[in-house]
Amino acid sequence: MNLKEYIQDHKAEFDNEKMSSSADQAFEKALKARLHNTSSKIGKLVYLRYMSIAASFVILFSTALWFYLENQQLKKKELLLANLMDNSTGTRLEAVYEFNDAFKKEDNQIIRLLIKTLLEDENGNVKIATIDALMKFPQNEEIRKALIKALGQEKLPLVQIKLINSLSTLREQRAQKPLEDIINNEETFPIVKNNATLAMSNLKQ
Amino acid sequence: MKKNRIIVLAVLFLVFQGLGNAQNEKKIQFNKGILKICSSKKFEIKGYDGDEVVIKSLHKKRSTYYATTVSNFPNVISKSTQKESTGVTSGRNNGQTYYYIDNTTRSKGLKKLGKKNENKELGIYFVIEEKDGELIFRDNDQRGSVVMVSSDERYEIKIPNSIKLQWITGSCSNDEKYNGKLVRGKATQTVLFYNSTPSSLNDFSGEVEISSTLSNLKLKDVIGPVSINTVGGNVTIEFENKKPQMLYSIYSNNGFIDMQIPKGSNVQVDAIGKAVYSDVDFKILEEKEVNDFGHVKNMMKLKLGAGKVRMNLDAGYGNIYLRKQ
Repeated sequence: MNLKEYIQDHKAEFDNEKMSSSADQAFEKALKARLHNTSSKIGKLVYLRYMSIAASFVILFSTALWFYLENQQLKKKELLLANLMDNSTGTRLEAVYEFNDAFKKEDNQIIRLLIKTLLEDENGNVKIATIDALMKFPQNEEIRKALIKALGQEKLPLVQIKLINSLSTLREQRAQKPLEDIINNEETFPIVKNNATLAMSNLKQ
Repeated sequence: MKKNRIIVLAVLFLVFQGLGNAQNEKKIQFNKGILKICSSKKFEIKGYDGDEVVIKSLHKKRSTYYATTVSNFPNVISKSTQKESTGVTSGRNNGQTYYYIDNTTRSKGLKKLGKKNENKELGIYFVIEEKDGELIFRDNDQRGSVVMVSSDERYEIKIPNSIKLQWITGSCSNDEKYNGKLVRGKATQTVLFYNSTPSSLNDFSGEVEISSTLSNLKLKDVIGPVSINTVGGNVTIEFENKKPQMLYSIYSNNGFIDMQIPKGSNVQVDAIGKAVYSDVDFKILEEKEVNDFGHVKNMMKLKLGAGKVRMNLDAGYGNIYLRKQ
Protein backbone atom coordinates (compact mmCIF):
# COMPACT_ATOMS: atom_id res chain seq x y z
CA MET A 1 0.00 0.00 0.00
CA ASN A 2 1.40 3.26 -0.97
CA LEU A 3 0.98 6.55 0.89
CA LYS A 4 -1.78 7.79 -1.37
CA GLU A 5 -3.96 4.71 -0.81
CA TYR A 6 -3.24 4.87 2.91
CA ILE A 7 -4.41 8.47 3.16
CA GLN A 8 -7.55 7.75 1.14
CA ASP A 9 -8.38 4.76 3.35
CA HIS A 10 -7.91 6.78 6.56
CA LYS A 11 -9.34 10.10 5.32
CA ALA A 12 -12.15 10.16 7.89
CA GLU A 13 -9.74 9.56 10.76
CA PHE A 14 -7.49 12.36 9.62
CA ASP A 15 -10.46 14.74 9.38
CA ASN A 16 -11.64 14.01 12.89
CA GLU A 17 -8.26 14.04 14.59
CA LYS A 18 -7.55 17.00 16.96
CA MET A 19 -4.31 18.66 17.83
CA SER A 20 -2.97 17.67 21.22
CA SER A 21 -2.48 20.35 23.84
CA SER A 22 1.28 19.64 23.88
CA ALA A 23 1.33 20.30 20.17
CA ASP A 24 -0.39 23.67 20.81
CA GLN A 25 2.29 24.64 23.26
CA ALA A 26 5.04 23.59 20.89
CA PHE A 27 3.34 25.57 18.13
CA GLU A 28 3.05 28.66 20.29
CA LYS A 29 6.72 28.37 21.23
CA ALA A 30 7.71 28.07 17.62
CA LEU A 31 5.46 31.00 16.75
CA LYS A 32 7.10 33.21 19.39
CA ALA A 33 10.53 32.30 18.10
CA ARG A 34 9.38 33.11 14.59
CA LEU A 35 7.86 36.41 15.70
CA HIS A 36 11.13 37.39 17.36
CA ASN A 37 13.01 36.69 14.10
CA THR A 38 10.45 38.74 12.12
CA SER A 39 11.06 41.84 14.23
CA SER A 40 14.76 41.63 13.30
CA LYS A 41 13.89 41.44 9.61
CA ILE A 42 11.43 44.29 9.93
CA GLY A 43 14.23 46.39 11.45
CA LYS A 44 16.35 45.61 8.42
CA LEU A 45 13.45 46.51 6.16
CA VAL A 46 12.98 49.86 7.92
CA TYR A 47 16.71 50.54 7.58
CA LEU A 48 16.58 49.72 3.87
CA ARG A 49 13.56 51.98 3.51
CA TYR A 50 15.46 54.91 5.06
CA MET A 51 18.41 54.16 2.84
CA SER A 52 16.25 54.16 -0.26
CA ILE A 53 14.64 57.45 0.77
CA ALA A 54 18.10 58.99 1.31
CA ALA A 55 19.25 57.63 -2.04
CA SER A 56 16.18 59.13 -3.69
CA PHE A 57 17.04 62.48 -2.16
CA VAL A 58 20.60 62.19 -3.41
CA ILE A 59 19.37 61.33 -6.91
CA LEU A 60 16.85 64.16 -6.79
CA PHE A 61 19.45 66.63 -5.54
CA SER A 62 21.99 65.50 -8.13
CA THR A 63 19.43 65.86 -10.90
CA ALA A 64 18.45 69.31 -9.66
CA LEU A 65 22.11 70.31 -9.44
CA TRP A 66 22.74 69.00 -12.95
CA PHE A 67 19.77 70.95 -14.28
CA TYR A 68 20.97 74.03 -12.40
CA LEU A 69 24.49 73.76 -13.77
CA GLU A 70 23.18 73.10 -17.27
CA ASN A 71 20.90 76.10 -16.94
CA GLN A 72 23.80 78.22 -15.70
CA GLN A 73 25.94 77.05 -18.62
CA LEU A 74 23.10 77.85 -21.01
CA LYS A 75 22.69 81.31 -19.51
CA LYS A 76 26.45 81.80 -19.69
CA LYS A 77 26.40 80.78 -23.33
CA GLU A 78 23.44 83.06 -24.12
CA LEU A 79 25.23 85.96 -22.43
CA LEU A 80 28.39 85.17 -24.35
CA LEU A 81 26.53 85.10 -27.67
CA ALA A 82 24.81 88.39 -26.87
CA ASN A 83 28.08 90.01 -25.78
CA LEU A 84 29.83 88.87 -28.96
CA MET A 85 27.31 90.98 -30.90
CA ASP A 86 27.41 93.99 -28.58
CA ASN A 87 28.12 97.47 -29.93
CA SER A 88 30.87 98.05 -27.37
CA THR A 89 34.27 96.78 -28.45
CA GLY A 90 35.19 96.27 -24.79
CA THR A 91 32.19 93.99 -24.26
CA ARG A 92 32.94 91.95 -27.39
CA LEU A 93 36.56 91.58 -26.31
CA GLU A 94 35.54 90.50 -22.79
CA ALA A 95 33.29 87.88 -24.40
CA VAL A 96 36.06 86.44 -26.55
CA TYR A 97 38.48 86.35 -23.60
CA GLU A 98 35.76 84.70 -21.48
CA PHE A 99 35.30 82.03 -24.15
CA ASN A 100 39.04 81.46 -24.18
CA ASP A 101 39.16 81.00 -20.41
CA ALA A 102 35.93 79.22 -19.56
CA PHE A 103 34.68 77.28 -22.59
CA LYS A 104 36.56 74.09 -23.31
CA LYS A 105 34.02 72.28 -25.49
CA GLU A 106 33.59 72.83 -29.21
CA ASP A 107 30.22 74.55 -29.52
CA ASN A 108 29.09 75.01 -33.13
CA GLN A 109 26.83 77.96 -32.39
CA ILE A 110 29.61 79.89 -30.66
CA ILE A 111 32.18 78.92 -33.29
CA ARG A 112 29.90 80.16 -36.10
CA LEU A 113 29.58 83.51 -34.35
CA LEU A 114 33.32 83.69 -33.71
CA ILE A 115 33.96 83.06 -37.41
CA LYS A 116 31.52 85.85 -38.30
CA THR A 117 33.36 88.07 -35.81
CA LEU A 118 36.71 87.22 -37.40
CA LEU A 119 35.44 88.10 -40.86
CA GLU A 120 33.32 91.14 -40.08
CA ASP A 121 34.36 92.84 -36.84
CA GLU A 122 35.83 96.30 -37.29
CA ASN A 123 38.25 96.13 -34.37
CA GLY A 124 41.71 94.60 -34.69
CA ASN A 125 41.94 93.52 -31.04
CA VAL A 126 38.65 91.64 -31.28
CA LYS A 127 39.89 89.84 -34.39
CA ILE A 128 43.24 88.88 -32.84
CA ALA A 129 41.57 87.58 -29.67
CA THR A 130 39.09 85.67 -31.86
CA ILE A 131 41.92 84.00 -33.79
CA ASP A 132 43.36 82.81 -30.45
CA ALA A 133 39.92 81.46 -29.49
CA LEU A 134 39.42 79.62 -32.78
CA MET A 135 42.91 78.14 -32.66
CA LYS A 136 41.75 76.03 -29.69
CA PHE A 137 40.11 73.74 -32.24
CA PRO A 138 42.77 73.21 -34.90
CA GLN A 139 41.04 70.20 -36.48
CA ASN A 140 37.83 72.06 -37.27
CA GLU A 141 37.55 72.42 -41.04
CA GLU A 142 35.20 75.42 -40.88
CA ILE A 143 37.70 77.26 -38.72
CA ARG A 144 40.57 76.48 -41.08
CA LYS A 145 38.55 77.74 -44.07
CA ALA A 146 37.58 80.90 -42.17
CA LEU A 147 41.22 81.66 -41.29
CA ILE A 148 42.21 81.29 -44.96
CA LYS A 149 39.34 83.52 -46.07
CA ALA A 150 40.21 86.12 -43.43
CA LEU A 151 43.83 86.18 -44.60
CA GLY A 152 42.62 86.92 -48.12
CA GLN A 153 40.60 89.96 -47.09
CA GLU A 154 42.32 91.38 -44.00
CA LYS A 155 43.94 94.82 -44.24
CA LEU A 156 45.14 95.56 -40.72
CA PRO A 157 48.85 94.60 -40.51
CA LEU A 158 48.79 93.20 -36.97
CA VAL A 159 45.80 90.97 -37.75
CA GLN A 160 47.45 89.86 -41.00
CA ILE A 161 50.57 88.82 -39.03
CA LYS A 162 48.43 86.90 -36.53
CA LEU A 163 46.61 85.06 -39.33
CA ILE A 164 49.84 84.25 -41.16
CA ASN A 165 51.47 82.80 -38.03
CA SER A 166 48.34 80.83 -37.11
CA LEU A 167 47.98 79.25 -40.55
CA SER A 168 51.68 78.50 -40.59
CA THR A 169 51.35 76.77 -37.20
CA LEU A 170 48.45 74.73 -38.60
CA ARG A 171 50.60 73.90 -41.65
CA GLU A 172 47.59 74.80 -43.78
CA GLN A 173 48.73 74.36 -47.39
CA ARG A 174 45.65 76.16 -48.77
CA ALA A 175 47.03 79.37 -47.27
CA GLN A 176 49.69 79.54 -49.97
CA LYS A 177 47.42 81.43 -52.41
CA PRO A 178 46.53 84.32 -50.07
CA LEU A 179 50.14 84.36 -48.85
CA GLU A 180 51.32 84.75 -52.43
CA ASP A 181 48.85 87.61 -52.95
CA ILE A 182 50.16 89.35 -49.84
CA ILE A 183 53.78 88.91 -50.91
CA ASN A 184 53.06 90.26 -54.40
CA ASN A 185 50.97 93.19 -53.23
CA GLU A 186 53.03 96.39 -53.36
CA GLU A 187 50.90 97.97 -50.67
CA THR A 188 51.58 95.23 -48.13
CA PHE A 189 53.28 96.45 -45.02
CA PRO A 190 56.95 95.27 -45.05
CA ILE A 191 56.80 93.38 -41.76
CA VAL A 192 53.67 91.57 -42.99
CA LYS A 193 55.47 90.70 -46.22
CA ASN A 194 58.41 89.30 -44.24
CA ASN A 195 56.10 87.14 -42.12
CA ALA A 196 54.26 85.93 -45.22
CA THR A 197 57.51 85.01 -46.96
CA LEU A 198 58.69 83.08 -43.89
CA ALA A 199 55.35 81.29 -43.60
CA MET A 200 55.38 80.38 -47.28
CA SER A 201 58.86 78.95 -46.87
CA ASN A 202 57.70 76.92 -43.83
CA LEU A 203 54.69 75.56 -45.69
CA LYS A 204 56.78 74.47 -48.66
CA GLN A 205 59.26 72.54 -46.50
CA MET B 1 58.79 98.94 -58.39
CA LYS B 2 62.26 97.83 -57.36
CA LYS B 3 62.55 96.46 -53.86
CA ASN B 4 64.81 97.72 -51.09
CA ARG B 5 65.48 100.95 -52.86
CA ILE B 6 64.19 104.32 -51.92
CA ILE B 7 62.43 106.05 -54.76
CA VAL B 8 61.47 109.64 -54.46
CA LEU B 9 57.86 109.71 -55.61
CA ALA B 10 57.02 113.33 -55.25
CA VAL B 11 58.33 116.56 -53.92
CA LEU B 12 55.53 118.53 -52.40
CA PHE B 13 55.68 121.63 -50.32
CA LEU B 14 53.11 122.66 -47.84
CA VAL B 15 53.23 126.14 -46.51
CA PHE B 16 50.81 126.85 -43.78
CA GLN B 17 49.22 130.21 -43.51
CA GLY B 18 47.20 132.14 -41.02
CA LEU B 19 49.23 130.90 -38.10
CA GLY B 20 48.73 134.15 -36.24
CA ASN B 21 45.38 132.77 -35.14
CA ALA B 22 46.77 129.35 -34.25
CA GLN B 23 45.77 129.61 -30.61
CA ASN B 24 42.10 129.98 -31.45
CA GLU B 25 39.77 127.18 -30.52
CA LYS B 26 37.12 125.43 -32.52
CA LYS B 27 34.18 124.10 -30.53
CA ILE B 28 31.82 121.47 -31.83
CA GLN B 29 28.68 120.43 -29.96
CA PHE B 30 29.09 116.64 -29.63
CA ASN B 31 28.38 114.66 -26.47
CA LYS B 32 27.06 111.36 -27.78
CA GLY B 33 28.45 109.00 -30.42
CA ILE B 34 31.91 108.27 -31.75
CA LEU B 35 34.80 110.65 -32.34
CA LYS B 36 36.73 109.00 -35.14
CA ILE B 37 40.24 110.32 -35.72
CA CYS B 38 41.87 109.06 -38.92
CA SER B 39 45.09 111.00 -38.91
CA SER B 40 48.78 110.54 -38.41
CA LYS B 41 49.10 114.00 -36.92
CA LYS B 42 50.01 114.46 -33.28
CA PHE B 43 47.16 114.87 -30.84
CA GLU B 44 47.06 115.53 -27.13
CA ILE B 45 43.57 114.48 -26.15
CA LYS B 46 41.99 115.15 -22.79
CA GLY B 47 38.66 114.00 -21.44
CA TYR B 48 36.34 116.30 -19.52
CA ASP B 49 32.74 116.44 -18.34
CA GLY B 50 31.26 118.65 -21.03
CA ASP B 51 29.21 118.64 -24.21
CA GLU B 52 31.67 119.97 -26.77
CA VAL B 53 34.70 118.75 -28.62
CA VAL B 54 37.23 121.58 -28.42
CA ILE B 55 40.15 121.70 -30.85
CA LYS B 56 43.15 123.95 -30.29
CA SER B 57 46.21 124.01 -32.52
CA LEU B 58 49.51 124.12 -30.64
CA HIS B 59 51.86 124.66 -33.58
CA LYS B 60 53.19 128.06 -34.51
CA LYS B 61 55.92 127.76 -37.09
CA ARG B 62 55.58 127.78 -40.81
CA SER B 63 56.88 124.54 -42.08
CA THR B 64 58.01 123.19 -45.40
CA TYR B 65 58.18 119.47 -45.80
CA TYR B 66 59.49 116.96 -48.18
CA ALA B 67 57.43 113.88 -48.95
CA THR B 68 58.96 110.65 -50.12
CA THR B 69 57.79 107.16 -50.76
CA VAL B 70 59.97 104.23 -49.90
CA SER B 71 59.47 101.23 -52.10
CA ASN B 72 59.62 98.60 -49.40
CA PHE B 73 58.05 100.81 -46.78
CA PRO B 74 55.21 102.55 -48.52
CA ASN B 75 54.23 106.06 -47.72
CA VAL B 76 56.84 106.86 -45.15
CA ILE B 77 56.94 110.59 -44.81
CA SER B 78 60.16 112.14 -43.74
CA LYS B 79 60.89 115.72 -42.91
CA SER B 80 63.82 117.08 -44.84
CA THR B 81 63.92 120.82 -44.62
CA GLN B 82 62.20 123.58 -42.81
CA LYS B 83 62.40 127.01 -44.25
CA GLU B 84 60.42 130.10 -44.97
CA SER B 85 58.57 130.13 -48.23
CA THR B 86 60.34 132.10 -50.90
CA GLY B 87 57.38 132.47 -53.18
CA VAL B 88 58.06 129.75 -55.71
CA THR B 89 59.48 126.41 -54.79
CA SER B 90 59.95 123.32 -56.88
CA GLY B 91 60.85 119.68 -56.76
CA ARG B 92 61.53 116.81 -59.14
CA ASN B 93 60.24 113.29 -59.35
CA ASN B 94 60.92 110.80 -62.13
CA GLY B 95 61.72 113.59 -64.52
CA GLN B 96 58.69 115.66 -63.58
CA THR B 97 59.00 118.96 -61.83
CA TYR B 98 56.48 120.22 -59.34
CA TYR B 99 56.09 123.85 -58.43
CA TYR B 100 54.50 125.44 -55.43
CA ILE B 101 53.61 129.12 -55.75
CA ASP B 102 53.16 131.07 -52.55
CA ASN B 103 50.10 133.31 -52.75
CA THR B 104 50.04 134.24 -49.08
CA THR B 105 50.63 137.95 -49.73
CA ARG B 106 47.94 138.29 -52.38
CA SER B 107 45.37 136.31 -50.40
CA LYS B 108 45.96 138.17 -47.18
CA GLY B 109 42.65 139.05 -45.51
CA LEU B 110 40.73 136.57 -47.65
CA LYS B 111 39.51 133.14 -46.69
CA LYS B 112 40.16 130.14 -48.90
CA LEU B 113 36.82 128.55 -49.63
CA GLY B 114 35.97 124.87 -49.54
CA LYS B 115 35.40 122.22 -46.89
CA LYS B 116 39.06 121.31 -46.65
CA ASN B 117 40.01 124.90 -45.93
CA GLU B 118 37.29 126.05 -43.62
CA ASN B 119 39.35 125.72 -40.42
CA LYS B 120 42.74 126.82 -41.69
CA GLU B 121 42.43 130.27 -40.18
CA LEU B 122 42.32 128.45 -36.82
CA GLY B 123 45.48 126.55 -37.67
CA ILE B 124 43.51 123.34 -38.11
CA TYR B 125 44.76 121.42 -41.11
CA PHE B 126 42.53 118.40 -41.11
CA VAL B 127 38.99 117.87 -42.35
CA ILE B 128 36.16 117.76 -39.84
CA GLU B 129 32.99 115.91 -40.81
CA GLU B 130 29.93 114.78 -38.91
CA LYS B 131 27.65 112.00 -40.12
CA ASP B 132 25.58 109.14 -38.71
CA GLY B 133 26.43 109.97 -35.11
CA GLU B 134 30.13 110.13 -35.83
CA LEU B 135 32.42 113.14 -35.68
CA ILE B 136 35.30 112.42 -38.03
CA PHE B 137 38.72 114.08 -38.21
CA ARG B 138 40.75 112.99 -41.21
CA ASP B 139 43.87 114.19 -42.96
CA ASN B 140 42.93 116.34 -45.91
CA ASP B 141 45.91 115.41 -48.01
CA GLN B 142 45.48 111.66 -48.43
CA ARG B 143 46.04 111.54 -52.17
CA GLY B 144 46.74 107.94 -52.95
CA SER B 145 50.30 107.23 -52.04
CA VAL B 146 51.33 110.71 -50.92
CA VAL B 147 50.46 112.32 -47.65
CA MET B 148 51.76 115.72 -46.66
CA VAL B 149 51.91 116.37 -42.98
CA SER B 150 53.88 118.76 -40.90
CA SER B 151 55.58 116.93 -38.06
CA ASP B 152 55.40 119.95 -35.77
CA GLU B 153 51.65 120.08 -36.18
CA ARG B 154 50.18 119.45 -32.75
CA TYR B 155 46.66 119.70 -31.52
CA GLU B 156 45.09 119.71 -28.11
CA ILE B 157 41.62 118.24 -28.16
CA LYS B 158 39.18 118.21 -25.27
CA ILE B 159 36.52 115.54 -25.56
CA PRO B 160 33.45 114.78 -23.43
CA ASN B 161 33.72 111.66 -21.26
CA SER B 162 30.33 110.59 -22.61
CA ILE B 163 31.61 109.76 -26.11
CA LYS B 164 33.58 106.90 -27.57
CA LEU B 165 37.03 107.57 -29.05
CA GLN B 166 38.15 105.66 -32.13
CA TRP B 167 41.64 106.75 -33.09
CA ILE B 168 43.52 105.43 -36.10
CA THR B 169 46.95 106.90 -36.79
CA GLY B 170 46.47 106.53 -40.53
CA SER B 171 43.68 106.19 -43.03
CA CYS B 172 40.37 104.79 -41.90
CA SER B 173 38.84 101.77 -43.54
CA ASN B 174 36.44 102.41 -46.38
CA ASP B 175 34.38 99.38 -45.44
CA GLU B 176 30.77 100.15 -44.79
CA LYS B 177 27.72 98.24 -43.69
CA TYR B 178 24.60 98.17 -45.82
CA ASN B 179 21.54 96.36 -44.45
CA GLY B 180 23.72 94.67 -41.87
CA LYS B 181 26.15 93.32 -44.48
CA LEU B 182 29.76 94.40 -44.63
CA VAL B 183 30.75 95.89 -47.97
CA ARG B 184 34.48 96.12 -48.54
CA GLY B 185 35.64 99.52 -49.69
CA LYS B 186 38.57 100.26 -51.94
CA ALA B 187 41.85 99.48 -50.22
CA THR B 188 43.42 102.46 -48.55
CA GLN B 189 47.12 103.02 -48.35
CA THR B 190 48.75 102.51 -45.01
CA VAL B 191 50.30 105.78 -44.03
CA LEU B 192 53.37 105.53 -41.87
CA PHE B 193 54.68 108.38 -39.84
CA TYR B 194 57.75 108.59 -37.73
CA ASN B 195 57.22 110.67 -34.65
CA SER B 196 59.42 110.18 -31.63
CA THR B 197 57.16 112.06 -29.20
CA PRO B 198 54.04 110.12 -28.31
CA SER B 199 50.49 111.17 -28.93
CA SER B 200 48.59 111.16 -25.68
CA LEU B 201 45.22 110.64 -24.09
CA ASN B 202 44.56 111.86 -20.55
CA ASP B 203 41.75 111.79 -17.98
CA PHE B 204 39.22 110.03 -20.16
CA SER B 205 36.50 107.72 -18.87
CA GLY B 206 34.80 106.78 -22.16
CA GLU B 207 35.54 103.80 -24.34
CA VAL B 208 38.80 103.95 -26.30
CA GLU B 209 39.92 102.15 -29.46
CA ILE B 210 43.34 102.97 -30.89
CA SER B 211 45.03 101.46 -33.91
CA SER B 212 48.47 102.87 -34.55
CA THR B 213 51.35 102.38 -36.89
CA LEU B 214 54.84 103.46 -35.87
CA SER B 215 53.33 105.90 -33.39
CA ASN B 216 54.13 105.89 -29.72
CA LEU B 217 51.20 106.32 -27.38
CA LYS B 218 50.87 107.50 -23.83
CA LEU B 219 47.69 107.15 -21.81
CA LYS B 220 47.23 108.63 -18.37
CA ASP B 221 44.28 108.16 -16.03
CA VAL B 222 42.19 106.37 -18.64
CA ILE B 223 39.93 103.95 -16.78
CA GLY B 224 38.85 101.78 -19.72
CA PRO B 225 37.64 99.94 -21.60
CA VAL B 226 40.70 100.40 -23.78
CA SER B 227 41.76 98.46 -26.85
CA ILE B 228 45.05 99.33 -28.56
CA ASN B 229 46.85 97.62 -31.39
CA THR B 230 50.11 98.93 -32.77
CA VAL B 231 52.75 97.99 -35.27
CA GLY B 232 56.15 99.29 -34.28
CA GLY B 233 54.83 101.57 -31.56
CA ASN B 234 55.44 101.65 -27.83
CA VAL B 235 52.58 101.99 -25.38
CA THR B 236 52.89 103.66 -21.98
CA ILE B 237 50.03 103.61 -19.50
CA GLU B 238 50.14 105.73 -16.35
CA PHE B 239 47.76 106.28 -13.47
CA GLU B 240 47.97 109.22 -11.11
CA ASN B 241 44.50 109.89 -9.72
CA LYS B 242 42.51 106.95 -11.07
CA LYS B 243 42.60 103.19 -11.23
CA PRO B 244 41.81 100.89 -14.14
CA GLN B 245 38.13 99.96 -13.90
CA MET B 246 37.45 98.16 -17.16
CA LEU B 247 39.20 96.04 -19.74
CA TYR B 248 42.64 96.90 -21.09
CA SER B 249 43.51 95.01 -24.27
CA ILE B 250 46.83 95.86 -25.91
CA TYR B 251 48.52 94.11 -28.85
CA SER B 252 51.88 95.12 -30.25
CA ASN B 253 54.12 93.18 -32.60
CA ASN B 254 57.44 94.35 -31.18
CA GLY B 255 57.06 97.58 -29.23
CA PHE B 256 57.15 97.61 -25.46
CA ILE B 257 54.14 97.91 -23.17
CA ASP B 258 54.93 99.86 -20.00
CA MET B 259 52.08 100.00 -17.52
CA GLN B 260 51.67 101.39 -14.05
CA ILE B 261 49.52 99.33 -11.72
CA PRO B 262 48.04 101.59 -9.02
CA LYS B 263 48.03 100.40 -5.41
CA GLY B 264 44.81 98.64 -4.50
CA SER B 265 43.97 97.64 -8.08
CA ASN B 266 41.91 94.52 -8.69
CA VAL B 267 43.38 93.20 -11.90
CA GLN B 268 43.98 89.95 -13.68
CA VAL B 269 46.78 90.30 -16.21
CA ASP B 270 47.44 87.96 -19.11
CA ALA B 271 50.87 89.08 -20.29
CA ILE B 272 52.74 87.75 -23.33
CA GLY B 273 56.08 89.13 -24.44
CA LYS B 274 59.76 88.51 -24.85
CA ALA B 275 60.05 89.12 -21.10
CA VAL B 276 57.76 90.37 -18.35
CA TYR B 277 59.26 92.66 -15.73
CA SER B 278 57.49 93.83 -12.58
CA ASP B 279 57.88 95.10 -9.04
CA VAL B 280 54.18 94.63 -8.24
CA ASP B 281 53.21 91.94 -5.71
CA PHE B 282 51.26 89.86 -8.17
CA LYS B 283 50.09 86.36 -7.43
CA ILE B 284 51.39 84.27 -10.33
CA LEU B 285 48.57 81.97 -11.43
CA GLU B 286 50.29 80.45 -14.42
CA GLU B 287 53.49 80.81 -16.37
CA LYS B 288 54.96 79.14 -19.40
CA GLU B 289 57.39 79.65 -22.21
CA VAL B 290 56.36 79.17 -25.80
CA ASN B 291 58.48 78.89 -28.89
CA ASP B 292 57.12 81.21 -31.53
CA PHE B 293 58.97 80.53 -34.77
CA GLY B 294 62.33 80.40 -33.02
CA HIS B 295 61.55 83.23 -30.58
CA VAL B 296 60.93 82.33 -26.95
CA LYS B 297 57.97 84.18 -25.50
CA ASN B 298 56.89 84.32 -21.88
CA MET B 299 53.24 83.92 -20.98
CA MET B 300 52.17 84.92 -17.49
CA LYS B 301 48.78 84.94 -15.83
CA LEU B 302 48.93 87.34 -12.89
CA LYS B 303 46.46 88.47 -10.30
CA LEU B 304 46.33 91.42 -7.93
CA GLY B 305 43.52 91.82 -5.40
CA ALA B 306 40.28 90.21 -6.49
CA GLY B 307 41.34 90.24 -10.14
CA LYS B 308 38.13 91.92 -11.27
CA VAL B 309 39.52 94.00 -14.15
CA ARG B 310 40.92 92.02 -17.03
CA MET B 311 44.12 93.13 -18.76
CA ASN B 312 45.31 91.28 -21.84
CA LEU B 313 48.73 92.55 -22.85
CA ASP B 314 50.56 91.04 -25.82
CA ALA B 315 53.82 92.77 -26.74
CA GLY B 316 54.79 90.20 -29.38
CA TYR B 317 58.57 90.23 -29.47
CA GLY B 318 58.73 93.28 -27.21
CA ASN B 319 58.94 93.44 -23.41
CA ILE B 320 56.23 94.14 -20.88
CA TYR B 321 56.91 96.31 -17.84
CA LEU B 322 54.39 96.33 -15.01
CA ARG B 323 55.41 98.80 -12.37
CA LYS B 324 54.16 100.20 -9.08
CA GLN B 325 52.59 103.65 -9.14
